[in-house]
Amino acid sequence: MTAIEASAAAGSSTFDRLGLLAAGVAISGLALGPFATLKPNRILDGAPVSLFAALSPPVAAAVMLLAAAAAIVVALRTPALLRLLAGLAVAAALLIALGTAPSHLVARDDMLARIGPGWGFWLAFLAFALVASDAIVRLRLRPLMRVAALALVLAGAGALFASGALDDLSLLKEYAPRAQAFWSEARTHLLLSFGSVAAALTLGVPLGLACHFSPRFEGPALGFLTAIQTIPSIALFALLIAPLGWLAANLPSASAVGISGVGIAPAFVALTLYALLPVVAGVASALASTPRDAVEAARASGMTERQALLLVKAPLAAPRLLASLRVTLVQTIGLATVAALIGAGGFGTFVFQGMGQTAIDLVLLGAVPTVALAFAASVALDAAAEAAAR
Amino acid sequence: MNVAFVARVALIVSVAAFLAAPSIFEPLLRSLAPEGAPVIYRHANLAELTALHLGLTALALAASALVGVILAISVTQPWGREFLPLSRSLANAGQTFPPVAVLAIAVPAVGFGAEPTLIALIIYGILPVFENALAGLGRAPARALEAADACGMTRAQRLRKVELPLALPAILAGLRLAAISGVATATIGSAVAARTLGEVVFAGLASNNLAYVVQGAGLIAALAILISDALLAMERKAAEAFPV
Amino acid sequence: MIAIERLSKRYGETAAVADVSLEIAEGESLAIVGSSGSGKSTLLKTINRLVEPSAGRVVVDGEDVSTVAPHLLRRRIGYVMQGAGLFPHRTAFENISTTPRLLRWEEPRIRARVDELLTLLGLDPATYGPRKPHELSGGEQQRVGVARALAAEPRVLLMDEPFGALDPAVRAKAQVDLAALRKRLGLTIVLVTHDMDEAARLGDRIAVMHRGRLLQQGTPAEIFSRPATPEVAALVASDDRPFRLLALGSVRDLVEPGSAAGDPVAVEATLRGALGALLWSRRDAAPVVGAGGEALGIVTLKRLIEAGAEPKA
Repeated sequence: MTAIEASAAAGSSTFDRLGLLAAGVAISGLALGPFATLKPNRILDGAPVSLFAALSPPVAAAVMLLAAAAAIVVALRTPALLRLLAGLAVAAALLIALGTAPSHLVARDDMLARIGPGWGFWLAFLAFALVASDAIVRLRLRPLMRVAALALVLAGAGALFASGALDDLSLLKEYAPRAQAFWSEARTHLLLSFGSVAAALTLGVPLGLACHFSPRFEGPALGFLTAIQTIPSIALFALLIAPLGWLAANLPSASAVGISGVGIAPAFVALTLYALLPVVAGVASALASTPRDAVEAARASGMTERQALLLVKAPLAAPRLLASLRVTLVQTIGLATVAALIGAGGFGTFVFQGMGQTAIDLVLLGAVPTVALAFAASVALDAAAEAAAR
Repeated sequence: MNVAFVARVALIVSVAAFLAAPSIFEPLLRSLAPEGAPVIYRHANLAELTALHLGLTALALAASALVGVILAISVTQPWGREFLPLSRSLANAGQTFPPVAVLAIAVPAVGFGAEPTLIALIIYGILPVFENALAGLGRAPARALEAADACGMTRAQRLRKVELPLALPAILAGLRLAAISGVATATIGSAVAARTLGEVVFAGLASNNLAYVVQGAGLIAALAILISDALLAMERKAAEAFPV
Repeated sequence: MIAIERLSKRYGETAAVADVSLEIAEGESLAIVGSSGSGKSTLLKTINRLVEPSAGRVVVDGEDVSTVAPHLLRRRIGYVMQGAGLFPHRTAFENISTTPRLLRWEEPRIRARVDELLTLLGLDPATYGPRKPHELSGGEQQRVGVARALAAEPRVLLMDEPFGALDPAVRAKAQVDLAALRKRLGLTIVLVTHDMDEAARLGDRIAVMHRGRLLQQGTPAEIFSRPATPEVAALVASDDRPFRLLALGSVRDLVEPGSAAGDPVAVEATLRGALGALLWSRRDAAPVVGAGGEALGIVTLKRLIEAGAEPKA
């Protein structure tokens, strides 16, 4: 089926199939599923609470009306911008409404009870978030606009959290006593992930160039790095404890700069090693993929090998390089959570603490910012790669 | 005979020897263990843990392969094509989700033990299989597809005889990525009381016994490398059998 | 054998094929010619339902094709496309046996048929049968493509720019082979090409299409000598039009009594060949001989020049 044929066939329907599905999921989630869960304390199992039980009648009615109106908008064939606004509006409204649930459900002096989202809330929230992200794809925004949209959504979410409207929710109740620890773990997580990728870039770009110019070096180098990447993170972290511990014990200068068997050092080294493969392979393959004609033209017009590399190959290779950097960064941000197991800190600390205490909200306190960070990095680098390709 | 081959054989032999009679390796690891502490992990049989680790990974891998390939086929058929861009961006977004988080979130749903690990393994394994299967299904040249129609194949026949064979190398590549991340996630599964080799590493970390850490981590690393190697060999075979 | 009746195909607002009617007789070969975007491929593909028409119908062997399940219809009609379109993961043998397998032929019959076709197309079955497409040259791939189309013994063969991807020398050989094959198997052929010379060489009749419309149909000589519209004229018009026209006729048409000196020309030679021989040897006439070398008369420069001129209205 050709594109024209497809659009002709699609044009005959007034419904948007994806929107119809999302609207159906969202509305049935709100109508049938629990909007919130009520836990007597942070560890016990929660009891489901429906939309109309969790919210005061006017708020519940407003949420239902808004969601129904938005569902109609997204189920029909409507302009992408309208779909985006509908999706974002409902997602924000659901969050704010959930924020009012605690004061409606729990006595003011009950400090132990926890209110969190139920799966009905999650279905509706994710369905509308999906519609919004699909609308962004359909809008075909330029790279810079995509980053701006991301910044806007993040700023909106930040403002929502800062406003205090969500303070009574279980996730923020986990956050409140740990605010200081949260931000220090956030710094550690950023240092671990961005720092190790930066280190991998510093080491990897020259190595990638070496691979590009010497195929005899490329095989073994990439083979070694591939083997490294195959080793599960926890195993690599653990295997590095012994040699780094030995270094710290036997080299005073090593322990002076903070190298020790456990903690940040093995995690940082392991993450750097992981990130090396995509960087080195990315540089080598991006350079190898530059059109032969362009390189030949560069030589023919009298460029030296070095000039050809800097002026012709590097700009042509940039988009692919940025694309492989995106994968690297997303992967490293995720892997950095595991580093908490060997005492390196980062958001993983909350995840593993939460697992130990079976406190799911604490797990989410670590997982949600990690996912948000990875997602933001992915969108930003994706946009950068596309901008470089223009 | 090349170096890589010799190294592989050496690796297989040492893993087998270690699992059969770990005590042989005690002198090697002695210096890593604290004074007076046991050197070889004896709370559970290492061979049994290895088998459990592999079994869990294989079970999850089979499930994610099935789901991932069926999903990829669905969104490339005429009736599912509308969901292709969406499923692509979902798969992309899914990859920003660290496996640890999947594991942690599965616990409240199904409790501690092998189940949450299995769920996390399956969910996380679907993504690479799906993405690669998708790329593989797109690999069949347009002319070959037209030829399949023109020869009188039905849709199902075209899928079975042309599209899937041509996608096989890519599907295997996805399976390999899923297997690598599966071995890793199964390790972390020990944190939620799944019985895998991770248990040895965690015990070592908790009791400050580097000998435990090294034997656990070494076994896991060796398994991951061997599994990846085996799947890579299959992938190459498939690419040879089904070139484009 | 094939009747296309008032057929149209629209994509949104644009009409790829507009109200075309054509008939192709049993054993005939029709070449559809046109520039790219003329709708010629679209029209061809409505015959085996690779494209479904928006209006009108196609009748093959007395049966409206829209009443036959597409995959069953296609198993009865051979189809050759540009660049062969072989299945890259299957050997030449497996490629050729595709449709017979779908028809559940017995294994020995399949083997015999594939070997027969490979031999017919000048490829040694033992050597070429087990090869994968990437181990074959462009011309060999094309021949395997033709063999695949013919495997299930279809009586109709559709060809979409079949020789478009071949270089000129291989292409000329492929055209000669196809003509011989057609004669031998008694096939009805519909062939799409943008190359007027190829159309004239392979088509008993030519149909010229432009922007979805059928402008003219007729024998190659009619199309070359009396183009019906300016568009057809533009397609056939060029400095070597007289030579194309001459290439269509044989010396038999111009033999007259008499005697002449020098090397003889064969009675089956083209008029173009005869003219070339006379020009080269600076003669006004040449003796004509039959296949056995017997003298049949002469052919003159004057008659040849007349045969290449624009016909009088």
